[in-house]
Amino acid sequence: MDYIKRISILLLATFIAVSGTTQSALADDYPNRPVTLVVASGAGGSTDTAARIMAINIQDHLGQPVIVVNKSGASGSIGIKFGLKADLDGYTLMEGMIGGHVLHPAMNASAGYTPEDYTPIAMTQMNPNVLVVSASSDYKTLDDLVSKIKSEPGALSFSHAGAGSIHFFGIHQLLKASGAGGDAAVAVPYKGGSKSMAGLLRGEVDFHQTNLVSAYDFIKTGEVRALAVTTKERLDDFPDVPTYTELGYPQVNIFGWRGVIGPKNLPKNIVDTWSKAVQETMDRKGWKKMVAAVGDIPRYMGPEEFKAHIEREFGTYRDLAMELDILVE
Amino acid sequence: MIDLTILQQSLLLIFDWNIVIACLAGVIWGMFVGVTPGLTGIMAVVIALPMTFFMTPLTAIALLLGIYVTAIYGGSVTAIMIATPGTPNAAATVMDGYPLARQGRARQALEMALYASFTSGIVSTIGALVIFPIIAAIALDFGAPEVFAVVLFSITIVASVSGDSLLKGLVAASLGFIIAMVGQDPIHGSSRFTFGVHDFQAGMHILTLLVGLFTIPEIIMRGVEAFKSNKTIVIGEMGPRLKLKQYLKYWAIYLRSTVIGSMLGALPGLGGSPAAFLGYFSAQKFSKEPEKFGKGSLEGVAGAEAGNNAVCGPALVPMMSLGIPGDTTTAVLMGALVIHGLTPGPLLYESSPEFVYSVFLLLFVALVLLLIVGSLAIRLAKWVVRVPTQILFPVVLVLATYGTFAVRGTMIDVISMLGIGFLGFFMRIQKIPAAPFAIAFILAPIFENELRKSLIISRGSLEIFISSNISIAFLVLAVLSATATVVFRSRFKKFRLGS
Repeated sequence: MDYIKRISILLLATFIAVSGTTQSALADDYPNRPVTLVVASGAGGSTDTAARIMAINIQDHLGQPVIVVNKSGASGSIGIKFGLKADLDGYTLMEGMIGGHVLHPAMNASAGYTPEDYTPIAMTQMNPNVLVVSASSDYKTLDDLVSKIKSEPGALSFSHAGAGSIHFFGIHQLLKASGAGGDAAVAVPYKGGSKSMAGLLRGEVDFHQTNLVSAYDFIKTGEVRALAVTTKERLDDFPDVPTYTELGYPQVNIFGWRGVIGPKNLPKNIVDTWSKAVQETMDRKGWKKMVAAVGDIPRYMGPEEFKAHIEREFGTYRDLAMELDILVE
Repeated sequence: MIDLTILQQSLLLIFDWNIVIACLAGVIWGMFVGVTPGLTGIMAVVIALPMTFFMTPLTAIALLLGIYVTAIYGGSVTAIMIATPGTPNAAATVMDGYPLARQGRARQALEMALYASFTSGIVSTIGALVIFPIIAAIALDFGAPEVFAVVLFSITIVASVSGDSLLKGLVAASLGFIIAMVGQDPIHGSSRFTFGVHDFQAGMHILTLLVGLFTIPEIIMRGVEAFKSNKTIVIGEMGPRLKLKQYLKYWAIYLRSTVIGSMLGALPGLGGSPAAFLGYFSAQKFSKEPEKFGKGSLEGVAGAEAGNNAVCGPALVPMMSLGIPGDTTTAVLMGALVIHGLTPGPLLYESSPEFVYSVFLLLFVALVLLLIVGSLAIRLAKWVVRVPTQILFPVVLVLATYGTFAVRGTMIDVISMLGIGFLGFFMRIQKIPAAPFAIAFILAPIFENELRKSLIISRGSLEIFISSNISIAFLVLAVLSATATVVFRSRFKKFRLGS
């Protein structure tokens, strides 16, 4: 009897001790061990690179190392679902990306998650998209291209990096805004952004919209012609390229972004710790230099602004997918 | 074709101890990763990537190239010693390397793999450097219909050497095609054959399939053998060294595999594993002793290893000249350069050709270091042959399971690997060859994707496949090769559909 009692006291004491430590871990000294940042796309891609740049710079501000783990597949939904199921202790977070976090669930009704299921923490960077055609083509302006699309529906084709990618949605924004309709141009899928750019260079398709860094060299060497950019203002590097807004299509405003996202109901202290650390990291010279090198523009959004932005985007793209009948059930 | 003044400048650029030491570190790390099942070359490069953020661009690329080149070779060490491809590239090496090790000739197999890798690596890199602009231009000429024609031709080559029975080869290849269809539809993104299991959406990973197909049946066979025998089974010896004469004898194999590997390397999306298989099969096709293949042929090891290492140099060409990486590993290398503000592409080649050249020169440095470190690794491999089967293969099972899990961190891969393992064991009992299964699995997604993409581009017209000389040439080759297979088999081997 005595012996059972002793064991139960011991167990109770252990339990109290253990629960005490987890409590304090949650409250005071977060983070007290390395944090895992899940990248839902393949190693070496632009999202992965962005995550690694963040991870190596932020550790001084968090006081703990950040380990990047890739879990790719199924348009990012494998890794994102893993991130959504993580414990709420803040030790497993995700590198947020427009493709997997917004566009994939917007287009796939059966994706199994929406922005409701995660906690946006901070946006870190964005990149403008640019519409390009082959330099040898007859399309000198956006109007030339749009009128051809409208006059001969189905005659022209564009390359994209897979259904649900930013390349895919960007062109659909244009097809809708111009009134041409979702079927007016043929969508040709490639594996990733650089291969869809190669498709245009090879003349397999007529037009392509991509992030600035993928098109930069080819615009400079004159192999492709840029017809419009998705930013509100013209770009410093290409002052001659008009914006969609100037050309009368303010609705075409898609831009890529990256940031940090956690699972649903992530405690506020963790969100605050991270958004503060992200803000500090973004002031670092090293971070700025690396982000500029990969062609992104630093853009901070705190938790509330980021959440509102994501919800607005999700609504817009879900509507777009339904209207153009590209929603996958 | 090479501008010698620029070459001289690039040579000066890489004459720096820091660069050589970084490259050596990469080679050692790449060797470690190569021999660890589950750590693929791409993961090795990615793990090292953040370290390179703070190096000079050339030091960074030296480190990463060292890993890239060595991990491809390192995978063959475990392929030969324990029938486990350390990386997907080494799968074709298992087929003859492992039987050689069982016969007590591990040393020859390992040395053959190393020297074949080195030879084809050097020759293909020289080729890439000399005809750099030509490869760059050709790489852009290969669109969807052209790549489709190449893949179709490759499939006919595989069919022509698929073991004793054409029917069994076709059964194996069909299985590979079916398994490759599991996952997301490449065009519409909808689920296929996932049976409602979300994790199946990512499809089966190539390493899952290869470990299941090659390693698990071997573990079962050795397990049965060990249970039957009361004695401890030990191979015990590494066997004799590879003689210079033996190495020189296979020059034609190195040359063929180098050409195959270089071509596949320069094309987007194909990579090392198909090159290894096609190198292997072409070696068998032209061999005087094709019946020895699969039972322990040095030619098989040479063909496979020369094939996969020939990919490295040419794969860098589309990346450095156009900014279009052919596979995921070159994409990471490109990422590393981009971080340093050196975005590979037409502008970089124009503004600093000496830098572009020096990247290729670093490949030579990496290959020489590979030769040194590889020779040391072969000495260490002798510990493996001293371990009795009863201890070795349970350890291999643990490694195979861990390795499969580590690639993507999902249990579904382990379950699939074991499932494929039992299928592979059944196939082995029925004498259905594993190689057509593996190569069909590797080529099927490319085959499907390029076929469907071509038809989307042409709005459904088949004319697109005969609209360029390149695709016409490869389609003609495919027809010839398929016809030759049927005629050859019926005339000399008595065409049989069963066995």
